[in-house]
Amino acid sequence: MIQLQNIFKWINTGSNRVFILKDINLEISKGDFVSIMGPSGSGKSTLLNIIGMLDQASEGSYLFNQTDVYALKEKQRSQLYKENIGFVFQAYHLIDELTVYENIETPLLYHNIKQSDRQAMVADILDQFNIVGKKDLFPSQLSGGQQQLVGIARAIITKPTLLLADEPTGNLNSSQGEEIMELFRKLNEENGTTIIQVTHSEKNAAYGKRIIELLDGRIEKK
Amino acid sequence: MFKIAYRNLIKQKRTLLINLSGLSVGMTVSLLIMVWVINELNYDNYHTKSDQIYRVTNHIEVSPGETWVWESSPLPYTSLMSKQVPEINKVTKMMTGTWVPLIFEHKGSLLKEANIAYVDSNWFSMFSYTLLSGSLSVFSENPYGLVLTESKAKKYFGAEEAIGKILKMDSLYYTVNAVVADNPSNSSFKFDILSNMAGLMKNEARKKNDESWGNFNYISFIRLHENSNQKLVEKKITEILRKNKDDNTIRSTLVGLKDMHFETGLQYYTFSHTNQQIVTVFLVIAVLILLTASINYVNLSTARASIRAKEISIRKINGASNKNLFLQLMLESGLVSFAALVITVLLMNLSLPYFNQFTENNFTISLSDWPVTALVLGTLTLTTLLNGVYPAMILTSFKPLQVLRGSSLPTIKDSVFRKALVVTQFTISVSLIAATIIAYLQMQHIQHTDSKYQKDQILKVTVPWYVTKGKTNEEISSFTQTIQQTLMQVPGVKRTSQASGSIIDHQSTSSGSFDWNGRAKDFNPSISVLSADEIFPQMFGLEMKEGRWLKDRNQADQHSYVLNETAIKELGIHKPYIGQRFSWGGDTGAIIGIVKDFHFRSMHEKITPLMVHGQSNWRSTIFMQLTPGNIPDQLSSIENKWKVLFPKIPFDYSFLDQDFNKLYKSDQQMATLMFFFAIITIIVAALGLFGLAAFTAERKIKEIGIRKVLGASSTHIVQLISKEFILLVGVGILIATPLSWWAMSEWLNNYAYRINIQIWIFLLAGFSATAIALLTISIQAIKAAMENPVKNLRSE
Repeated sequence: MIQLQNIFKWINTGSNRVFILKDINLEISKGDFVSIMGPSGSGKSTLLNIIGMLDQASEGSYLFNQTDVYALKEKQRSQLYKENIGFVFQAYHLIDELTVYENIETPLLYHNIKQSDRQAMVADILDQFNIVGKKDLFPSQLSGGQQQLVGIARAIITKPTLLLADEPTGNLNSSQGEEIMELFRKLNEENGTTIIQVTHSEKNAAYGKRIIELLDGRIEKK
Repeated sequence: MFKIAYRNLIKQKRTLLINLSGLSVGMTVSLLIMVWVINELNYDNYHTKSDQIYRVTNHIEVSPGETWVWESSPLPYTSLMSKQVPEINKVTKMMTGTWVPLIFEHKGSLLKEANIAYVDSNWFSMFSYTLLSGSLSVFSENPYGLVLTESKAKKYFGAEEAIGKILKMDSLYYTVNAVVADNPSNSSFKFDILSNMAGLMKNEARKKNDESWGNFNYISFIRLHENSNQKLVEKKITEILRKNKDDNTIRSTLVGLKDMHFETGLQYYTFSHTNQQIVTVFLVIAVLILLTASINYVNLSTARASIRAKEISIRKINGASNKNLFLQLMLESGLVSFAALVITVLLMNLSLPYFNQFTENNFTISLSDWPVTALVLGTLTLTTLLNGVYPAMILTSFKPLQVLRGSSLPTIKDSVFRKALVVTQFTISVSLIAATIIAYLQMQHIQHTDSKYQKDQILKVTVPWYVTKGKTNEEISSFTQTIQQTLMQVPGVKRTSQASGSIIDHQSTSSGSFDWNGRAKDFNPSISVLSADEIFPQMFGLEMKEGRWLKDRNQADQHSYVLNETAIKELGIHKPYIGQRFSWGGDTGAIIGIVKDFHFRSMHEKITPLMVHGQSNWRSTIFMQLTPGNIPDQLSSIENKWKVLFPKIPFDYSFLDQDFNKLYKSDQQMATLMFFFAIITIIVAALGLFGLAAFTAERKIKEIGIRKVLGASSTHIVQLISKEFILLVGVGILIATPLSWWAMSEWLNNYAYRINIQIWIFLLAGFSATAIALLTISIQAIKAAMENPVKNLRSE
């Protein structure tokens, strides 16, 4: 599904070139569940963002389902992104002014889905996540774990084939974290969603089928 | 503290720039307007005891339901009232010479002077003038004395001493006895040459004529003793007038000197005169512009408040008291206001010459004038308070820990207030745009409504009345013919015509001396009277509805009359119209023709009854129709002929289309000013919107990031940011529409021929405001939409 070849990422600060990623070669197949680990500043998030097409590599090639991502035009790439990728963040990034229901509905708006279908889809997922009773609450009225549930519900409502999670449990306590990890495992096993997560926690990393360790922008261990 | 305030301001360059430019442009424009308004509201208050000075107004009932209101009185009136009414402390009278400008001869050159008045010896003891040189008492003693204003003296004599110099007027020699300072801009009296009335009285014929109680040629001013009863004096002087004129319906009233400037209802205004409505309109506009500019400042400062919440919270946690913070914020506001003041003063000085030129005034603005200082300081204090207090209140009321935890941002709480302000700004902008469009359309309507006569390539010159003074009718006729023949010799002059006045704005009206078959005894309507020659209808393309025009050589036509359609209708002339008896001034003749209605006055007025007669001794206006071609050459040839005909009269011509435009000059001025103000207002409002949109984009930066990650396109993001503002602009449009509809309907009521206000005007105004707002916002919105969301979603 994903093939990264000789991926480099750097930023220029003045005359210096600071490398964030160095010569990353990585292949992830459909249905995989990968955990990326590594210390702060090792380039985990950047790698995730590059896979998620939110960021672009400075050098190297990226094939997504055999399509050369960097050969695509901006519009086509957004389309590819919209159809395949869901994001989950450490800080949830819910929209404060919207209710739980509206937050989950938002991506559907951008997928041009009809109102009646949207209602059904949001109702389904609320049900699936057991948060039907919370649908009219605002993010600030929820606990961290509940917010992250909403964040995940929002990420998967468009049925992405690839779910990217940047330290999804970083702001949660361990029992909330476990709940989220169980959910990820279920999504991976039952729906076949490919999942790539960045995490600091060995325990959470263990939920993945394989672990990639990054150090100073290089892959240390697969 | 000062350093921190400075640093805070500089950090937000964009906000600072918007605040400064908005505030200083707004202040400059509204101050300029205010200077004008203050001047208008303070007319003639500089004279000593101006509260006690009044002008006599006479109400002459010409027929039931029609009263003429005149500012002039009979000559003997003042001296008689001064003797018989003990409340009167002093009287003085003046007259403005003739309808035609007077001509002065100096060092061989001829100069027309329009702003000249004859005053009696009390004039200078009632009204305050600043004497620069010479002596006013010498002037009072000298029947042929002159008082010149400083600039007039300079015009004639340059740097030379003016006192004792001789000027020739008509055939008389006048001596300059005194030079006074120029009339202040708030003076009703715009005369720059004052001549002694005693000289006028040397002319026995004139004196005899003017001393009759039937002739109202002199404007009388009286000064009452303190605490006199105005009503009682009016009653007393009315009695004097009624007794002497032997007329029981005539009535005199007094108008206060300071109220004269906004006087209404007079048939003719000698003194500088303004419609009070216009002053009110401009006062409102000044306030609105200042409001718009101040709103920007408040909006941006409060918007910034949430961004500064963190800084303020940390300061609080570190022990800053509310007072400290308040002072800090007020200092920042004060600094901006001060900087705005400096820019305002600069801008004022730069724009004043243009403003003066446009308003035809001579304002000087210096900070040492108390009204200007009061205005500037008042505005400044107000804006500083407005702009400082509210943001300071919001900011200092934060609960610091909550802010740091990021749970409560004050933006939601004050956003209703801010929205209301934006709505206000756009209500103002849209109203002004709509008003401008309506004013423009009305101007177009007036200028393109068919005046029913043609006025292109027609030149007008006026022959002073005294040229034909003392001549018999036959002599005048032959002289008239000589003029005609001489002018026709000039190549390029297609035809010439003579009449008693210009077709553009013919004011001469009479009442009471007309009679016709079927007239009710007490029906004495006023009828405009015009004397015109045979060529007149050809030259102006007038059409006859019935009958024929007057013939010059036909002796019988000396007693024939042509009426316009309105006259036939309003006078109730019996059929058949042609041949009906019609008499005027005791001379009975017949109606020989009906001319189709044409607009012989401005479109402010409806067409009134008009009677045209053929008596040639009335005609002092010469029209010349030129063939298209070399106008300057034609003009100089005409001037050469003119010099032969009238060696003592300067060739002072005007083109009719220019005269026509002059009729609407004040309307045009108003429309131009409105347009200018509308532009300024919308720029200032857009500036504020720009700042707010930038702020919204900044505040929503996270949300935008999230939405982009969720698949939102740039279009979605632009919509997201614009939606809220466009909604506010929409509300502004909704409020502005009925408001400006109402206001402009009132304004249009001044016109006899007016446009109908149509809905598309408001659609256009709304559309342009929306377009400008959208353009402004989208600059920010697109910038926000293009940004990489990853940058804004980092949580560390």
